[in-house]
Amino acid sequence: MEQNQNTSLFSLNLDAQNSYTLRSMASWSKVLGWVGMILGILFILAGIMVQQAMSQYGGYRSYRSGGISATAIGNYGLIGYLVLGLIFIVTSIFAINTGGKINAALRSNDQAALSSGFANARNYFAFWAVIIIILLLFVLLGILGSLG
Amino acid sequence: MENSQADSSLFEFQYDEELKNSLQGAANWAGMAALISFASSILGMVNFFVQRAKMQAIYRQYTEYGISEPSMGGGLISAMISFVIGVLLFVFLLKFSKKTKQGLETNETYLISEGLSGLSVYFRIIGIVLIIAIIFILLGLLAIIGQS
Repeated sequence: MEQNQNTSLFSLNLDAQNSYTLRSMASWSKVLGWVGMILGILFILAGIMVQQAMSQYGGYRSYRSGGISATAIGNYGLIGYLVLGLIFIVTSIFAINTGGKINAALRSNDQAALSSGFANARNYFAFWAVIIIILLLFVLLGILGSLG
Repeated sequence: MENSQADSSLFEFQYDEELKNSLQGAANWAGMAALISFASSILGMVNFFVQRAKMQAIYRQYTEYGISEPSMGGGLISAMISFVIGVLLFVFLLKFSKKTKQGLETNETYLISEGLSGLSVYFRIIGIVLIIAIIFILLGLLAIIGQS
């Protein structure tokens, strides 16, 4: 009884159900991480290919686009794809770390690793929250520009 | 006695202060990311209809010259699919955030377990969506390589 009272504040224990759920979550986090990593690399490759394809048109200038050369358009596209690819790669690293640390924690009963795993999950969501806020601002500006 | 000792050795994790802080941080940021991504899904749909109305207005000007408005059914379908996926992700991420925070406040392990299962489903959905995206990107890259 006294033992229960002493642990009443921190009476949460990891039971079998929790363990199974954690393992499943960690596995899918790793899958998401690796898939996101591949996607990030593909975005970078796609950006390079688009830039190369646009460069073939050399100094062709489109008057409709305000005189910007095809090479410049290709370069801007490359920057965009690079940024997108880097975003996916960074968030994938967080997701892979989340899954890896939680799985390691469950294997070796390492409390610190479990805590670190959830800290990586926190970083993953924090990063995406900031990115989505920035994207939201761009979408809002686009809508306001269209209505204006 | 031996069984309980074996059980406790497997499930030695207790939610200590550091683990609770990490989990709380992850739940807080996940809740924020869920709300922001839901807002961006709604804004994305609004943006789609605004842009579509703008395109329709432009094409209406050229109807008398025999230029017909292109079908925008494909765009609507992809916008709807994106919106549905966004709503699903919002539901499961919010479930993780709310249930985990409730579980930490009330020391209820089953609530945390429910929250983690929501997170597992969230990672699963995103993982599958990204795998499909990779397939489409690879097909696109193959098409570009094939044409050049």
